[in-house]
Amino acid sequence: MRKLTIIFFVFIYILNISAQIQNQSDNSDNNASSNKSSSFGLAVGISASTNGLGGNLTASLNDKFALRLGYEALDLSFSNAFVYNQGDFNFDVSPAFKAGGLYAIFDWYLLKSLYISAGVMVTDFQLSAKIMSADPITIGEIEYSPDDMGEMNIAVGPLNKIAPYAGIGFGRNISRDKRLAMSFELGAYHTGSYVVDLSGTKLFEANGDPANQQSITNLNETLKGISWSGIYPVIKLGVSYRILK
Amino acid sequence: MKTFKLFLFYFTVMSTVMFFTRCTLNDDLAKITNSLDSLQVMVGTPQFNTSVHLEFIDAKTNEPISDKNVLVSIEGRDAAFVYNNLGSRQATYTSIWGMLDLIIDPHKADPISMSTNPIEFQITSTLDGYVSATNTVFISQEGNQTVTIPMINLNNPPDGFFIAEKEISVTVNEDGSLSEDVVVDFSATGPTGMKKVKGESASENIVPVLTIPKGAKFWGQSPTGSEGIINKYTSLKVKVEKVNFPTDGAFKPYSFRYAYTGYFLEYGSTRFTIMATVPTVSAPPLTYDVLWTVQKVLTGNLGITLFLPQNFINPETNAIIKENDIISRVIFAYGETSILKEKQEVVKKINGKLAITSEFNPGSYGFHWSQSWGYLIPTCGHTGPKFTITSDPDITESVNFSVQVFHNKRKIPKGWGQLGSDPNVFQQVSFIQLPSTLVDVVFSAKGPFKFFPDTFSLDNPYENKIYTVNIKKDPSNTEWVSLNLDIELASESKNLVIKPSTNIYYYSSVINSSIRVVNGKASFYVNKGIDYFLQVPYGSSGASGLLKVEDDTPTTYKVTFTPQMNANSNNKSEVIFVPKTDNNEITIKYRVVIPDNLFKQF
Repeated sequence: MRKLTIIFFVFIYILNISAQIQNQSDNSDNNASSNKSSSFGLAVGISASTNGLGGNLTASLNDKFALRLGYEALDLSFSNAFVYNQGDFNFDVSPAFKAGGLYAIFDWYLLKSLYISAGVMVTDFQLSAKIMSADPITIGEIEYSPDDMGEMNIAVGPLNKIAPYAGIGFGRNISRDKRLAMSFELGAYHTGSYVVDLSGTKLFEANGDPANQQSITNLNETLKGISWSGIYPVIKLGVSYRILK
Repeated sequence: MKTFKLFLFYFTVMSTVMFFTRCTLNDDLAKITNSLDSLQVMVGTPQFNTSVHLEFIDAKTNEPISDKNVLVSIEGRDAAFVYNNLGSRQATYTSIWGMLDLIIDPHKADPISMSTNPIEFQITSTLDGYVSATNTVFISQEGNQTVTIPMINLNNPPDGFFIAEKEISVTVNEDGSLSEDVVVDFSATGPTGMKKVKGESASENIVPVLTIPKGAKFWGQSPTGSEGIINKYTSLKVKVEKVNFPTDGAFKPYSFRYAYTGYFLEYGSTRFTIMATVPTVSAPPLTYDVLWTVQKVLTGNLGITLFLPQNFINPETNAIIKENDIISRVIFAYGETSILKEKQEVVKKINGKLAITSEFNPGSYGFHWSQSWGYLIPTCGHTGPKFTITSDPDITESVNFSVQVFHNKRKIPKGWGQLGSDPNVFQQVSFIQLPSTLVDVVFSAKGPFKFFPDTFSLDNPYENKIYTVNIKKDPSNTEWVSLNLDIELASESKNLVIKPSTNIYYYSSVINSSIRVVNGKASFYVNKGIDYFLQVPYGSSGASGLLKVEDDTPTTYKVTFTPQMNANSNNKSEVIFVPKTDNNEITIKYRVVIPDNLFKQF
């Protein structure tokens, strides 16, 4: 954890130096073309973040404000990633992670290469795991294969699909004077809270019955009572190309 | 300005970091951990969609044989598919409360293949003091098929049942073959030597005369049934258990549907059987029942003469039998799913009575225990009336109902069933054709429902005719309460809960029926103020209890459940009060907490 923190701050420091260099460069450019107009513009960009890979379209209204519309997606699944042992039984666990979604974000540039953002995302976030028996079991004298027994699915998803977003960024999502721009952004979505859902098929089918989900309901109530529950952190790197000046 | 920018930069970075680190983190994590620790996982038990529910009743009283344990063995082509409802296969199963639930291996019970090739097996039920009964079960579709097995009490047989036993001396050659013909007349007033006679006189009924011809040898049956040991016998004990053909027109379904007639040739500890059985054959491919069959192991021809009652209906002509009529002899060979006509016999008069005489050479067919011969008798089980049940559109739930058949006001247990959400089903009722047969078929629903009409009087139950009956809701009947049951078995310390899938059988003074429990849940109707005896057989044991729903206050019901887990339980009643609803519906959750060591057995 300590190493991660050090790496994080080193990374921020490097970006800071980079921003200062770019700032100085921009200042030079500004001096060279002091009368150049910097109003409406349009850029296309790509991004890599904790929400996956995506693309966006950024429209700058002026030097201070820009609107980003985009989509990011992350969809990972790991079949039979590990075996969970419970007494005499082994269960194959296949986790899956999905994140991303459509977003609309306003950027307010406090400085030339520092901005704060606010917006919303229709999030596709879901963390899930499929749990199946790893071995056939015999009940009485009849053997049941894992497929015969069915599967249990546990999923963690957002309470609200439409989640507000706030963040802070370095660099720009649309260059003010050039074609290319880069950005680094830290932020978070808030989905209200995370909620857990349990379901199943065949022998595990009863888990999906709302009447049997009192313990799940209790867990979700606990999560709702925790203020940071439902926050999804975002770390994003972006590159954009200004197509309209 | 530059200093301000740097300050703003570091401020925002640190704010973001602080955003994710709160002083309540540890407390929050503890809360989540506690919630996760109490998380429960539900596990169901296998749902056996194809099963057979056996009910053993006394053939005379029609009462369940609930205080004795009937031993049941399963034989036949598909016997390997059959288990008890715990999934255990045994050589012999034991009934509990006069019932036994058997299931078909879910991997073998494919609805499509069953519809064209029914699962087939024979159930042999034995109980001390009762006549053993063999029933053939055919399963052509999913569901819990009820087979009622009337058992004949030797000390209290039903009218029409006849048992005789005699011991005869025979002479045999060196090779063990009979040196002269042996003729055994089983009429009650027949030759001397009759040791025991119970039941009615057989004089007006089918009277068998057994002829064992000179040269016949008896074989001891080997485990494989294919060969045996020839012994020399100088004495044979001959026993006949026979069900008379009804001559008075009374409807006695046990006479032919479930009981059997048999010959036993016994010597010492070795039993040779020459059986005449009347099996229950209800498979779609079969169009007739078998009057009697011969199962045996001997060489040489076996002659059997059957004297027929005067009102015997010839299945070939559908008319009362007369001299020179032709009756088909049939064979039901091992591995076959239908009866084959083998030979035609001519009805002759012997001593003024109509009779048919056949000679069999069992050895020529090879030896297999389930090979049998017989004659066709007229029944209309598969060509008789059918009832199409329709329902009003507002009936969306399953409806339990019973069908009762009355012959001359005498009630015959006929079964019950459940209409699904799509209640357009055929309910078929079988009858044996008799002269002047008149039966009433009465439908009654279990719940606030009513059949229109609820009674059908059939002048000719043999007639292949379709009747339509409509079921409607009966809102005026407020004595019924819809009960939603939620059962679970929880471990004492683990977060594991079993939601069972099983059948519950319930009985009361007014109705009996079954409840299908799926993943611990079931819905059924109960009548207010009436005790319901609930029984759940599990293998050779089970759980039971008494349930009663009563009005308590204008706004609440009082529900009393008295579990009767075993004979040593103190039967302490549990009482809960539940609020009344506009639709007369109550939900009861019954949670049984089981010690871990016991839970492990599940």
